[in-house]
Amino acid sequence: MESTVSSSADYFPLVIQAVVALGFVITTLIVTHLWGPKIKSKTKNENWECGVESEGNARFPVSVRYFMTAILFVLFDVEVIFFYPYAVNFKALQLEGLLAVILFVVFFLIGFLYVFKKGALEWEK
Amino acid sequence: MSLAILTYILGGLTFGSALMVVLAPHPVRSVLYLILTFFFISGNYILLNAQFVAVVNIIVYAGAIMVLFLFVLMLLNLSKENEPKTKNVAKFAAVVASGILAVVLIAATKDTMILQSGYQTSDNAQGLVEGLGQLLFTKYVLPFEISSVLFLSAMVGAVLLAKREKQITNEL
Amino acid sequence: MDALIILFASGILTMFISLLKKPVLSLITASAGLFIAGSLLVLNFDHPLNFIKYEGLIFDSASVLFSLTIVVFTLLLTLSGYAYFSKEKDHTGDYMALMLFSATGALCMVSFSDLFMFFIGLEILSIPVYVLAGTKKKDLRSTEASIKYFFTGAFATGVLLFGIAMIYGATGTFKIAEIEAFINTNDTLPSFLHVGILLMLASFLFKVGAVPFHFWSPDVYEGSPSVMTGYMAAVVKFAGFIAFFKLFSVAFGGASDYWAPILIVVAIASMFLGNLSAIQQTQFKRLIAYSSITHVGYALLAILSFNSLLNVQSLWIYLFSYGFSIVVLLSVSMLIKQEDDSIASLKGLARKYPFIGFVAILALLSMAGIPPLFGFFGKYMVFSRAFGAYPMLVIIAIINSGIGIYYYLRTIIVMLSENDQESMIKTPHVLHYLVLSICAIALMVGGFVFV
Repeated sequence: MESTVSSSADYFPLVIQAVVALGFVITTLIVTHLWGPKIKSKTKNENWECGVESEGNARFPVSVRYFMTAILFVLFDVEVIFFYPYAVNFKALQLEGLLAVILFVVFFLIGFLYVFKKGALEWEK
Repeated sequence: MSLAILTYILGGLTFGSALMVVLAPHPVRSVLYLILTFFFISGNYILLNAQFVAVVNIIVYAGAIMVLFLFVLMLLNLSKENEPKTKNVAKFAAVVASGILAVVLIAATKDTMILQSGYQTSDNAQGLVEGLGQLLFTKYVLPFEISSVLFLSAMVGAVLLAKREKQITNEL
Repeated sequence: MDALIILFASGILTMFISLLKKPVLSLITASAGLFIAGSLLVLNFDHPLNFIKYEGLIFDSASVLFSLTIVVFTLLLTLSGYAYFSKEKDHTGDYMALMLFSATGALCMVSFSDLFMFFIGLEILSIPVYVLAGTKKKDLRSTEASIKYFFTGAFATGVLLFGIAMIYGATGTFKIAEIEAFINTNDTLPSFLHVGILLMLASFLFKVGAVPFHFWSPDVYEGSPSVMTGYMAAVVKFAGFIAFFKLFSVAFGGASDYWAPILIVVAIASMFLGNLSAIQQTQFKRLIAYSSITHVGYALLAILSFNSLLNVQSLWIYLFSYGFSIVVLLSVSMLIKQEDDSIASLKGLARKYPFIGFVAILALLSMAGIPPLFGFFGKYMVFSRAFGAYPMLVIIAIINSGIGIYYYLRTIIVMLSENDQESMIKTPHVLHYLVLSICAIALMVGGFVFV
């Protein structure tokens, strides 16, 4: 294994990537604003300038079902995280590591099966 | 040394955005500042040579958990009218308590600084994905498996609490 | 470790059996799992199995004893809670599965030997309890209890984690044996260690509900379903105290000059505040909550006066006897009709159901520490061992025991008195009789068997 401490040079490609991505977004935002034609009037500034009149507040409470989906997503997301260290060490860990991961995944599948059977993922009731 | 300057800048940014989480008038903005804070904290982790934690912090915290936070905020229907009022006494007590905690922590940190001067980068492989994986799947394999009990109970708990009950009136 | 696996497996099984919507099957699976786990612990008592090599989780005879205690209380509460659980056919198995998972965490929490395992155990123990506290969805107080317990508990966990990080930073190790050695060999301890101990102390005092951090407990105890109140007071508190003992009396024992004075003040405050508030209560579960704060004060004496795991016996006896009383009282509380939890509604209990009244009185007397009962032996052992080092503290504790007798006796008088109104007490389930008989036997002969 080579040096375990990564120097700042290792992050150089990452920095370039970040600068390019951010730079593109910011430039496009600014440039379209400057170059595009602008018409300002009361109707033009409405959220929807044609169609049905908008009513009420946009901030209404969302259904608890979204929350249900989100919380299950977090749990499975955390599970996926554990695969990264395993994937890197796949060869070195041999059969024991594989069994450990399989056991872990089996527990999660059990949980998934339970959630599925319980009907928590069904949308309309 | 450029690394030290970078640490200070990053620290300052982390501190500032964390402060904005508390000070932002609208809760959704607080959450957005919190995401920013998590990114800065990830930067700090990278400086400490703990890349895996940095990446996990972004994926799980800034990604998944903050989405959950936003859902909760939308669930609550927050607006100016139904914001609870905190008593001044409670505010004062909170300031005093956290001030005391801050003093204790700063005092402890100051002592340690004298004992161990200089900025040290850890050069072990623990923070890297490879070293972490080797530890996790050999030495710490039992806690790793046991943590799935936690996930399972969280799953059952979430389904139990958040799932809408079927209307029982039809059966009665 | 075999018991740990059995508990987890039966939890998963119960989870799926719950899908059949047959409460009896869930009950059979859950109690069979607990029973098998308990028998395995008894069978392998002298040579516990540790078939996965990991030094963070060691089953020695002490931790097998603690595990057995947890399994016994969980089994008793599952049985007596069945009448409540089975009211919702869809979820009976879910509740029981969560209780089994939580017990798995409790097992980790009493047999850990490094802070890593301790933290995982604590989380596994707590999260199902947060959920179960709020299972009475239609009752606003239950939801309040769940939210209150969750927020304060999560905050305390954060403080605990901060403390663990500090201790790791100061000592460079997670293992409690190495932390102990570090504290005993170094003359000047790093101040990080002190801050870490302080933070951990705060969150431990929160978890067991000692005085400056007790605010959550009356509300949470009152709002939660009675089964969960019993679980919190018997199992969660037990696991918390054993971990408290392992960390403070053993691992940080060398630094006791630093944390002992804080604990003395907390113990005195817990005893007085718990007792004086308990006198004013009219709600049964709030009374139990405040009296349990007082009992925390007594149990803190045990933390203060021992410094080796070999001495843990008296703390164990004390918590064991207390747990039986709690199981009895909360089983009685399950019999009170919904929406009413006042002590007055217990009127005529002993006349309508003489056996239940008798066991409830036994439990209250045992809590008060009246001689031939189990509770007396626990109290006696804790007090007598602490007397050498902290005579004043023991005298204060004895005074408080005297105050305690007043409100216990008052409750007993209510139970014995004639009821002229419509009775608020439901017909007990046959399992209640079973659980109460077991507890009655334990309360009467426990002192002679275990001491």
